[in-house]
Amino acid sequence: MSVSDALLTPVDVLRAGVLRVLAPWLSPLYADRRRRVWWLGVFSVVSAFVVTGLVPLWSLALGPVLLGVPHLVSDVRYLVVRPGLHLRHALLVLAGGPLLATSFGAGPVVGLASVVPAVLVATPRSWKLVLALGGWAALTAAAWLDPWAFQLGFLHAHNLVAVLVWWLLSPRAASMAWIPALTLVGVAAIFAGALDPLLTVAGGWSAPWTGASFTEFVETITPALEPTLAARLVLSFCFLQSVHYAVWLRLVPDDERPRPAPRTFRSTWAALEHDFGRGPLLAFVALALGIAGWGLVNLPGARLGYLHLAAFHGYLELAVLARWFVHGRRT
Amino acid sequence: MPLLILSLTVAATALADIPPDNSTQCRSASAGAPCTTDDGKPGTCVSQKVGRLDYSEGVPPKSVQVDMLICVPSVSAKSVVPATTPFLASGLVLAVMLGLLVMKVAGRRRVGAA
Repeated sequence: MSVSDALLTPVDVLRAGVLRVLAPWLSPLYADRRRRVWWLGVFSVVSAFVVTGLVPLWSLALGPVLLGVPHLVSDVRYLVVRPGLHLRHALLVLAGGPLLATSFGAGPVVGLASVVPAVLVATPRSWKLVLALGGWAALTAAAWLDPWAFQLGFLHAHNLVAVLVWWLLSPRAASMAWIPALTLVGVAAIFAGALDPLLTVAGGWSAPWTGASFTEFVETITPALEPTLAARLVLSFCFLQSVHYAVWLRLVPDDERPRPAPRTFRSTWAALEHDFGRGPLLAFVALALGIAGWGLVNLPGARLGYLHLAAFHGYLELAVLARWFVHGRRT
Repeated sequence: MPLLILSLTVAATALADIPPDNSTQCRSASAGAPCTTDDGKPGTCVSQKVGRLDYSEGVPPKSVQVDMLICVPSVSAKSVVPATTPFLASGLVLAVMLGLLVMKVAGRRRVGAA
């Protein structure tokens, strides 16, 4: 028996036992994939909203440290590995280079450069190509003129890009529109001040143990705005970040799984090993555990370290979206 | 939403604070540590009273005076290059991951060819 089997078998046995007991109530929710994704999506958006209203600073501090690396793995898995983009050497080098550079501190103009090979490599000439390159040129001009403002906008927008990517991954029933619609309603409610009283009652405006404060988040992730609006922009970021993680860690994997039924943890590990290989997978696990362990010692430092590492993934999502637009999905 | 539109279109009189000048360089430093000021001069991190907005009791925030390390220019201090270690480390981690992925792809190709 392998180490992964030895570790995951007891968890699977426990999970099977819980599911057996709860089967009368959970079966209707779990059996059908479409229904399962729908309620998981709605539950994720609603719980992200509630968490944002109760403990936003904890969510902002712990989310990246605990869920950051797994969500990056999912991002790369479903955008690059599963469609086989990494098998195209020209694309791997030309798009991978700028993406890698962003994690070395390169600015947004370099990150955006990954869009060009993504749309040009093995792409027939079409009006869509012209439009995509025009979009890239416009974004690059904006990033060139004001890198700080561009990065702020990109930081907030990329959380919503995940919802768009999820929407485009599979044909969607109309009922699935509830998930993006609820997300937008949540953002509107936050900007209207719906969470302000809840935060005050729950004491969520302050969380000294996280080593972070609203003041710091306002200073680092919002432009110069009226102070109340700036605080709500931080809350909106917190909410959308949680939705972003839910999309990559729950909705996309559930949607993209070849068989419709949920998998055991051992099967999930085997599928990950098939996609990435054992070496890279173990490296991902070590990285995830390393950042989580770092968070135990220095939570703000771990969060910052993760954010440096993750700088590439927003541009990766944008490049793949641009490729889908020009080339069609999964090519 | 109307508040958002109003705030974005009408010039706000009291804008949210941005980090005080010369403060970001000293964020994770201790008093007396060498630093480089916003305009590139060598300096030293010195504790000073600065005005900040305090959101800990909700919105609208209160204006408070707090002690904060500020990079103050000094003729005796040596210039320090801004830290690149976090970026170097994160870039190297990502490069290793990318390398492992490429090796795995190459390995599969070899197996396929054999």
